[in-house]
Amino acid sequence: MLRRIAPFVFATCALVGCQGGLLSPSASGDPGSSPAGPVTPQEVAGQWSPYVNVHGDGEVLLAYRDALSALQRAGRVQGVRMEIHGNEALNSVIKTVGAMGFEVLGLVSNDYLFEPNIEGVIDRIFSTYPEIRYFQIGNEVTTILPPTGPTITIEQYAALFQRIYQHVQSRHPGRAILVTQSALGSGMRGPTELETLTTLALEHMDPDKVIVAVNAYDPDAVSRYRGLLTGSLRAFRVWVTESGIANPALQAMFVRDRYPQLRQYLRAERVYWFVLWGADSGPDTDFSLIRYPTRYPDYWKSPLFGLLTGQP
Amino acid sequence: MTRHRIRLTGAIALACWLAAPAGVLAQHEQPRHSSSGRKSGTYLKLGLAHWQGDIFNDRSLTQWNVDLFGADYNLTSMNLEFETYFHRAFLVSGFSLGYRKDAIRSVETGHMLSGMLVRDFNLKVFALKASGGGEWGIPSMNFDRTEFDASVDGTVRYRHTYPGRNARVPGDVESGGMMYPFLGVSAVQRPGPVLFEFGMRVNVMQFHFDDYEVRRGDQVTRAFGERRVLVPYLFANIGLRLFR
Repeated sequence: MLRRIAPFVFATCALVGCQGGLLSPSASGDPGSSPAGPVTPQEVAGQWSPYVNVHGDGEVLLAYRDALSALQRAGRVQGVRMEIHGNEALNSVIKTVGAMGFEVLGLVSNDYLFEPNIEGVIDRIFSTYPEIRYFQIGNEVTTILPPTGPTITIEQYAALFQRIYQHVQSRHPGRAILVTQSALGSGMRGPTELETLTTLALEHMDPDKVIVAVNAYDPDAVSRYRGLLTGSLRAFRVWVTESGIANPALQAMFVRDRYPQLRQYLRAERVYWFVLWGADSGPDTDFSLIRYPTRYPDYWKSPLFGLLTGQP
Repeated sequence: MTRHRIRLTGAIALACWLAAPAGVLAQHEQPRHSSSGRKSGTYLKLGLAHWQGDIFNDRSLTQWNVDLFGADYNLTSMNLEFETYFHRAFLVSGFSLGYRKDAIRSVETGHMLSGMLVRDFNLKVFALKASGGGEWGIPSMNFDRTEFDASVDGTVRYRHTYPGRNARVPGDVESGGMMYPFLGVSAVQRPGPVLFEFGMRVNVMQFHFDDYEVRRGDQVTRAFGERRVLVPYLFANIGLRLFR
């Protein structure tokens, strides 16, 4: 009997071996298959997307200039995402960074979403920042607004986005590309809200004039977007407006292993690293590429920053 | 000797070791057949499957070298099936219901349920089994690929290759699931209460090939295509009979 079953046993063993890599020298499609070990500058450069989130803190402008110039000289940053706050007439950091030649994605702060005359706000912002072409309308609008203040539902946001879109197309045709609020990249909330936004607003818009944004910190969790991105949103471009990892020692590995997945799964044209500087203490600190910018020129730089600029 | 060679040598040695005393043990085999000569029963099967290959498309928005757009896939799956063989065979000799976990590390994707009809033919040494059925579930992300290329003039081109989502799955948004037919052929041995099977299944999957070209000034050109692709994989199962 066993002589007859030997071929089956052999086949099973061969398949087990196959899983271990015997017959699959390359595992390009396996999300967990990236090699471990130190990350080389070439590996980072090959996967890096030249876009970074920058907080608009004026007191650290010298360090910002220095860090962004180093990244720019190395060809590692082309664009930045910066927030346009409702409580300031003009942000000098945005102006300075724009003057350095970076393309700015202007994040219209969630504060503005409650302005009764949102059209007037958009006119004012367009007038203040003529150099900006891409404007994102809010960020994670249903989750990061403090419950003590005004909040917004995704249905209300869809109506607001529709108003802004119609205003821009009628009053400023060709002036700007609108970017949707960033949906959360994990769990069901983000995909469900994006589906609602699609039904209520995006389906009625020109996909050449709107870009869909997702904040994705866990590439394994973005699978829920697939049905939308290959269905109703098939014609829309996709940007990942925030991604990163809160551990400086793992940042380079994240870029090498996770950025390709975000591109593959979400067909994301861009991935914006979060963040150049996320304060020296607090929840965003360990995402930072630099720290202690007030100590300029002796501020701290993360290993990823060193790999990107060639200054380890 | 590399680790892989050691593993292959071990697999061959294991197979030879199992085959060697077969002559002695074979005489103890006392199969119970029905009056029609067929052995019926319901088996619980566990198995491994391995997928590997490329999906190419010769249509391209920009007439690039198709090698740029290889939709490589390479994954290993585990499957669990309940398979029943009838006393008598006419058009079919049994059926099977199963679950396959593709991309084992992923919790959210690669969950496929299947149902199939089988027909086996006794070739004395083993039975040749032909099967056909349908699969439904959340496909693995291994089949989603996007290849990018940026030109010096700032133009970005990319092709997104993915299996078409054509079915809803509970708890998912829009149509995130997939349903497709498949055909299979395998060699089966059912000595005593156990079952050994090795074969190949071919899924008939609809793939989409979406080209995007974004030029400076946000001028976007899109070209969407789709076609059916035969996606084969090899599998090996071991089963235990639960009922006669």
